[in-house]
Amino acid sequence: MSPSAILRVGSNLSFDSAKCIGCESCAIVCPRGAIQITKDQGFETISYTFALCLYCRRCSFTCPEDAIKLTAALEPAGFSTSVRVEEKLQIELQICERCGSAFAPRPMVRKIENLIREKRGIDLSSLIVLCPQCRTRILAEGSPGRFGLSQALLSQSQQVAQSHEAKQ
Amino acid sequence: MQKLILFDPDKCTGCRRCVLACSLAKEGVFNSEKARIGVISIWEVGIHVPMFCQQCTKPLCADVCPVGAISRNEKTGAMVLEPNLCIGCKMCVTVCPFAGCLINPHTRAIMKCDLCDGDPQCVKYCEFGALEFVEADEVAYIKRKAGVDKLATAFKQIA
Repeated sequence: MSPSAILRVGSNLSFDSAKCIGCESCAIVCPRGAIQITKDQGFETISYTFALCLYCRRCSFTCPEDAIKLTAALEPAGFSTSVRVEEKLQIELQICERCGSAFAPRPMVRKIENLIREKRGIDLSSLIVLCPQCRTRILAEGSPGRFGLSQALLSQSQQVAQSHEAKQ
Repeated sequence: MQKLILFDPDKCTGCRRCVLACSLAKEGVFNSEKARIGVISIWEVGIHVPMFCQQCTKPLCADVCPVGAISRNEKTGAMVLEPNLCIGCKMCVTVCPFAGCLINPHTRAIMKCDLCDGDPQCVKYCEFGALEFVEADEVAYIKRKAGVDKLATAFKQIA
């Protein structure tokens, strides 16, 4: 019996926690679902299962930050059904300052903020801490200095409505 | 010349026909989750605002894209997402102030308005003329400003 019949190629994967921005593109591109992402209580957990990996290296080619390191490894064939989680990485999520939902990984938010400051000289720090839904709502309601509408106007209208209700 | 979609808050009824027309044209189904346009209703002041890609002159989405998947279509002037290049990192979704880039929750792919190759279906199916597709000249920018001012005065009237 040749060795290939009893061994199969997989790979040892390691995430670089300093580089990873938690963008999930590795999990999207993985054909076997060896990289799984779960979001829970303000944290994103990226887990990698050795038993499912084909060593196709799509994840490392796709990763925009070069945060994935792969080395080929052999493991006994036939044992691959046992699910072994080899590597885990936890990334903090950014909490929306308006509605409190976790919407994007914090390293990604920081990276975007720095990128736009470098490239365009725009400070996004007040906008990027809001989730996309809240951001558009604030734009629609009119943010100060942008549409000439202030948040105060809306709260004022709410107060008027409440006083109407109180009168009735 | 580049054309852009204008919006008049006085005429919008919040019927969301634009949303359904968009998802039908792009995905072949009536599903508001798969549309490139979304309508925000502010019930406190009775205003409906469709949010869609503004085809910015200097787009933030193209600046942050790590693979350069978002580029301008010379014919229509729209910022178009190349799905074969996109790796689904959602940086454009995180940075866009107008919710122009959206995530398809079923396929995890990024969706973005491409002006339907110069014939936007949302404008076509807007029964009330709230959405207009016009040439991006000075008049259009004045109209866009006027639309925004209308929103502002509507808030002031209520308040």
